Amino acid sequence: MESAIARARLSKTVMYIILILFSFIMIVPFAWMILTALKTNQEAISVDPFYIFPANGWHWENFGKVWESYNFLILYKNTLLMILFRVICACLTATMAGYAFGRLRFPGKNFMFALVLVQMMIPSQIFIIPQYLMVSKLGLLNTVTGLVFPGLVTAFGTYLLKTGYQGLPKDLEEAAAIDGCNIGQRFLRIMMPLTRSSMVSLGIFTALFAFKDLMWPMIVCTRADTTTLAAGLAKMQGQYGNDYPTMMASAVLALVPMIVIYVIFQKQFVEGIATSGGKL
Amino acid sequence: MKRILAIVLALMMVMGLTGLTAASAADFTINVNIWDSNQQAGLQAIADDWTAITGVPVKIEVIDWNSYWTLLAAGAQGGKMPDVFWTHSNTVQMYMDNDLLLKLNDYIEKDGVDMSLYYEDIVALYTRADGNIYALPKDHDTIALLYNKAIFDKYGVAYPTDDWTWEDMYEAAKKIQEAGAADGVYGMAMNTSNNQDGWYNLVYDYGGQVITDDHKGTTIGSDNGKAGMEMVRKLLTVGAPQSVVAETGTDSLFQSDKVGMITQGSWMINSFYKAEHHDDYAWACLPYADVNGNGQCDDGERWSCYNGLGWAAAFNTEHPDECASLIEYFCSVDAQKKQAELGVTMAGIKGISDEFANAFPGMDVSAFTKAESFKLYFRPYTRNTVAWEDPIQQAGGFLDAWQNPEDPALMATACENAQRIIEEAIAEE
Amino acid sequence: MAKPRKKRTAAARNEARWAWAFILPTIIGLIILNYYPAVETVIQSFYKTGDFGMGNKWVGLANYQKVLGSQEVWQSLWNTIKYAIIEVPFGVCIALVLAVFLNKKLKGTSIFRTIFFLPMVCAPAAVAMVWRWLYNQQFGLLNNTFHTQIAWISDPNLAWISIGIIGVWSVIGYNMVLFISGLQEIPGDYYEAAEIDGATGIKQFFKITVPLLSPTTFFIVQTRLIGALTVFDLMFMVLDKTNVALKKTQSIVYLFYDYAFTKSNKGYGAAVVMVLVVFIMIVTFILQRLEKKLVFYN
Repeated sequence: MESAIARARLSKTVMYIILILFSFIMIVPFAWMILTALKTNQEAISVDPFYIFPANGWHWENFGKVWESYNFLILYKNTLLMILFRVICACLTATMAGYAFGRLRFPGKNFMFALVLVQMMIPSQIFIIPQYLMVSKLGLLNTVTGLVFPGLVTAFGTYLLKTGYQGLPKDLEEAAAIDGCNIGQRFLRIMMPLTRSSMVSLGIFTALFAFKDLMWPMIVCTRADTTTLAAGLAKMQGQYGNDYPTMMASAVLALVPMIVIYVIFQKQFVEGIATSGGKL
Repeated sequence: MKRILAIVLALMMVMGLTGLTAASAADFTINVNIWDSNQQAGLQAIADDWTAITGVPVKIEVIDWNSYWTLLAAGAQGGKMPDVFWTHSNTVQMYMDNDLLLKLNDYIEKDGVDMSLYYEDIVALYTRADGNIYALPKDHDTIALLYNKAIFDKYGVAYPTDDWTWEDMYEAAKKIQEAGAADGVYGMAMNTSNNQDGWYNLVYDYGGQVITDDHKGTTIGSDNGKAGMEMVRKLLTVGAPQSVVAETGTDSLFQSDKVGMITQGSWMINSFYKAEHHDDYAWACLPYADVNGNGQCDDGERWSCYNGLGWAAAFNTEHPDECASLIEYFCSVDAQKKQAELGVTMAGIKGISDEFANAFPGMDVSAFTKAESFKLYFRPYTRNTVAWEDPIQQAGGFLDAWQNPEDPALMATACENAQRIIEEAIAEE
Repeated sequence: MAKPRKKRTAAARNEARWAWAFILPTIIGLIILNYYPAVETVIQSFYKTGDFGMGNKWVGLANYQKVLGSQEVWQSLWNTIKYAIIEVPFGVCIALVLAVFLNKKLKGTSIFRTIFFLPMVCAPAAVAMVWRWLYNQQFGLLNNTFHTQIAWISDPNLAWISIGIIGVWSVIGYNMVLFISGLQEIPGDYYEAAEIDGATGIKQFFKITVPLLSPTTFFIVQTRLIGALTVFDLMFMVLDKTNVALKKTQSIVYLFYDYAFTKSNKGYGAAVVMVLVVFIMIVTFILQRLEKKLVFYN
């Protein structure tokens, strides 16, 4: 009995050590980013990297400077809208397709799914120029719709949800069929709610990839008042180049909304997992 | 929680929709794209003067060098180009040949723009073979030597003078490098990518040409070219290693007080003027090559590269008249003077040197205006410059020689490789 | 074929109709948004691109001949594989271990989770900037902390590992979230039964967790493998174009970008990327075969 408790304690300690070690590794670049943002350019490139408390205090004004020279509020808004609509589109289309591929039988299923798989294998840089020309001809440049365009459907999401649906027990559907539900009702009322954790994951990943998408917003929204955070940040890099503190300050400002969203989402995320875990 | 989400969602949709409609209700603005953030403030001030006269607002956007050309090309191919933008010798021929720029001849004639005011080479660059003019000269720039007085003082080396040869520079850099080794200070710094502001000038000083005058060949692999690059090699032995410079950049190294001297162009003055230690920085004339060994600078022994950007408009802009007017304004005598006074760049119009020289109180930048009395060569260009300009800076080109500056044979081979690369690229055009 | 066609039942036809309705938006989207552009790019690969996409000249297989004979292309493919060899295994294993830990009711789980997820929310430009600076030979944190002079990103033999490390760092959070959601779907009863039988944590891990998690693991490995093989941002933003380690580190998509966009030679660039597409197809094909053997579904 004692050895079991001791074993449990040892393994807990080991786990904590590993977790803390990796946390440290994850955080160091961020801490570095924030510290650099608070220095002057000269201090930032001074040789001593542990220069945490500079002689003249922390230069919070770097943030103010960046905030003034770039309209971050508009960047936040555009990014948020793009993410929101991409998530909605992705979840809608992927859950329907994922259900069909994961649970239904129909002719041509394998070929269609191959189409989904193959799309994931193709580097996205190939699509960009033709997609850009399409968006341009549709007059959607510098609009939110244009930003959402490549994300209207998602092969990745379809695959993810197919895996999710495949993992659900078979009996549920049979029971529903006996009860007289048609496929649509089965889907809506029973199957879809059960893939909540997968949907939440998909939502999160779609949001993240939308947030980080760089090349597309850059070429579709060239005006500073229509572009997103990632593209705006890259433009700032071109602008401030060697001014490290300013760059880091803008990077920090760009990160803040995502962290906020994540914190909000985290509760939803936990709920979603707990609920689906409990059902099983 | 769900209800809150629903409300937030609804709000977002409303925001999104209003955002979409608001854009179309505004009056039109002229969109201007440039790639140099240092110039944005000054140019916006000049543009605002134009807006005060015409009532049309102007929005200047800075896009970094690489993205600038990608975006412009994408826009040219079927998207939307900005209304007004900068043209550069690297690519302007391609744009002109494909009729992507607004023809300015009629406007020039109607408004009586005096083309003789501008530097001839720049005008020639932006005039097509059939006489159509597609851009007005915006500016020109020259190259000078930047040095850190504090470092020279610390190691007891005499400051650069305007009579320096490259050998003098070598000697000074050598002293600094040896004395400063313990502190991690280098004599000078130059990367393969410092072409216009760096090693190109040595090639010309020694009698070679990166691109011949007809833009169809090169003599970089000739004995003259090799002599020039050999001098570069010597300088590199008393400079920062290439990997350091590739990672950190010559400007950053200089501004962190790690380098005694670098060569730079007039478009970068602002960056050093505003730096923290700008009191330590000073400019001297670009050194020359005493090829005939007579101890003085003869004709052809001192060259400076110069480049001239142009202001152009998209061929399919919706407001050609306004764009042409804006371009003419930017290139008018008054605006050019203002551009120089604000320290933005040196003018495309001849004879406005003094205003620029005085634009930086506390920092003597006359080295750049003195450079105008040197022999000047236009920044080497061909129809598709990037096709050879990048490869000669990389492995298989001069990068190999930069990695081992102690070995003269490598540099000579690199010259021959560069010759071949350039000739092949031109053949493909 | 002598086999008589089974008459499809009304139920089966109904099912097929529903299924097609469900997949239609996605399939149409994929065709318009992805396949049509991809086909255009493939067609481009048979042309020598003229200025601005005008005046393209048909050259047949000339681009492919050049690509297949180009040492640069094969080197970049190898570079890409090297990168994947670091990012995928390490990214998956570390994330799995962390996910298992976080799935237990330890104190501070949500804090750890937030921290591990942080790299995921970072814009690529910011990540590249920070790591580029960390790795800097002269001023970087790494060299100054350990008093070394290592050329992390300028040593041709080392740069690919350094970039791989950034990749792993960025991707752990992503993998971890997927693993956690997969772990949540494993019924707790299995573990209880194992506890009663006296199985240790590690034994439970290998006998219960790994097999039941295999659909998720397979999914992650497949997507990360493809993601790693199409890496571009990291090399593009961390390595200067005059970096001496570039040739031994640049990925094949980087090469594509360089030719298609920087040098405006879309035809050649398209041919380059086709090599990658074929390679990825082979890899995916192998993986799909392995799926039947390695993955347990209900």
